[in-house]
Amino acid sequence: MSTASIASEIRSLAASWTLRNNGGYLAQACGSAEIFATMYSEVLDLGSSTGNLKPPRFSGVPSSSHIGQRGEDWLGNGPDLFVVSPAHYGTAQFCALAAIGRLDPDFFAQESSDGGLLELIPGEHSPGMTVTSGSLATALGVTVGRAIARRSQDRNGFLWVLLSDGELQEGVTWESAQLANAEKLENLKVLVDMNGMQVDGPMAEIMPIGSPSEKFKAFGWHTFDIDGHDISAIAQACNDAKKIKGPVAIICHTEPWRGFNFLEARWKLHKLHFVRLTDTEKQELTEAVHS
Amino acid sequence: MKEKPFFTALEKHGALHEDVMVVTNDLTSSCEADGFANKFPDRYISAGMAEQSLVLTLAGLAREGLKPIYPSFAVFTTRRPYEQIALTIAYPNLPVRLFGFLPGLTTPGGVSHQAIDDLGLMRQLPNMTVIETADSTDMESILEATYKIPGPVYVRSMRGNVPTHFNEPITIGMSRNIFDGSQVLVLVSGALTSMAIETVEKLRHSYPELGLICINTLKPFYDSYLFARIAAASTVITFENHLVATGLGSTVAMHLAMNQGPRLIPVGISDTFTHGGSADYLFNYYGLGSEHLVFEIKKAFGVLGDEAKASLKNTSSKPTLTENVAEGL
Repeated sequence: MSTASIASEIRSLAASWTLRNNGGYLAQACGSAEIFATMYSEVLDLGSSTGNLKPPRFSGVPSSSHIGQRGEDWLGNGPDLFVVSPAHYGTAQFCALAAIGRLDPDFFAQESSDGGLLELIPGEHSPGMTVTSGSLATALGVTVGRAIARRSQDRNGFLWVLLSDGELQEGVTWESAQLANAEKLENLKVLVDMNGMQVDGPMAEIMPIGSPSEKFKAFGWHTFDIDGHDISAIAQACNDAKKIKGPVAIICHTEPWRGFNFLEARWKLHKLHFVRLTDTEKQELTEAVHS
Repeated sequence: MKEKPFFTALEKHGALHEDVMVVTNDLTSSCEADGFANKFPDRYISAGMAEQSLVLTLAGLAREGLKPIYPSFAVFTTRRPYEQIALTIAYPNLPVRLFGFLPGLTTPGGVSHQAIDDLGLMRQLPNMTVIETADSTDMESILEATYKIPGPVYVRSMRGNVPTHFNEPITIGMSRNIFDGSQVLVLVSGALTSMAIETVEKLRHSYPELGLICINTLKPFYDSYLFARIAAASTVITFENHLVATGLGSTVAMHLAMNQGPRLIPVGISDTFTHGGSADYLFNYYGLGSEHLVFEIKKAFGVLGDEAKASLKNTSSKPTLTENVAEGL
């Protein structure tokens, strides 16, 4: 399957998921579909999934008597690691794993979140998630720690973190960026999905963040600014990032409504973060999925 | 008394275990980690004044199989990066050890530096082991005693010149008997242990049935020896350098609520923020002085009225700040 087809499949699966649950984080998946597709098919060296195509039921939270399930199993054993930081992109990650054959799409279409691993805002037990990062701006810092540890263990491979632009509003993101620079981490690379959206509306109106590229540069990082829907641009930037001896942020400019017309209308209404479908939207989405 | 027991113990611990890493927030020598940092520069990270990111980094290190240690002032160990501790260390049950110095009213620094709620914050987190050290032997032995605990550990810690009370290394979960005596039982933790030993020793001439136990593990709380001593007493007095609502007093209160036992008199900080001053001034002002303990012990033995109140005479006039207030930060 071509990378572009994988991106289309991610959108289609996310639409089906949203229809079935009458709501979901659809715009996050639509805006980042090319990023996920390119990472999985052209960038990451992950190794085979050790997670089940049909994920088991939730076995309980980690404790002294229970080690807990590892969403990371579905990402293989490296050498690379792909960390999805905003857990609101969990649906996008599940759809991507289904699109590339690491989850069974039929199972995926039936799974209920009650007692299952495919939660709306997932945790580290959910397929493809490595950190319980639903409280945003959590996974970058954890991955900085992992990058330091892997370097000290002389391990090859890159740790790729997908951040959302909303996470750049959190101070701890910049604490972590500061440490990554101080530690001169060569194995840490970040992609930022710049979809310009937060819960209350456009970030430019709610809390403008200026130029992420300039900010990361001021923190000592190397940066690229690219069109986040341009597959070859994403692949090229990632390839270039690997050659740079230090932390890199690839700022991917995206449109969270990409793929479905009614989403763009919602963007204008400030109703895009979580999509609960109206009857008209249901009809439009159903037709789009079946076409 | 021993000088900087943690400094020496941390160096030794680093030499014994290659997977131990130390991460600090600009308080490296203040928390006696400079020896480790100099000796093992490859296993030391200076994370700057950025505690939230620091704690996330600890989680990342532990996820890759390392055994990170974060020594800081207790307020910066626990309160500032609380969410990161809860979600990235306690939730996944990672073997990260958090050390909190300057507990309670042991610092002349003001409210920002006085950790009066650290034990409560850590105690309420599932998976967290919570320990308060009481002497130099505890500080010398705590690193080895906690090395193999598979989950997160919080250690309320002592630095500088630390008094020595015990000969045997600390055993997690097990309290230390200091004085037998079954009628009134004082349970003390942490830096107040010296004062409690001195106070109880004197009073035992008049009240031989006055006992004293030092508690080092607030969670898990399962010491059957301790429970038997509590059950045998007619009054238990807890004596702590922390808010009674969420520290030792509340731990014992919950035990007593679920088991038959004596009445409880909690002595500690009562639902108030605190301010800066010398230890003597603060202990007096907030009701943690020796006189307060004597008063409660006498009441427990049925001595009431003027005789008991006489113990409190020193606290009626509040002392002013002294010149050495700023020392020791």
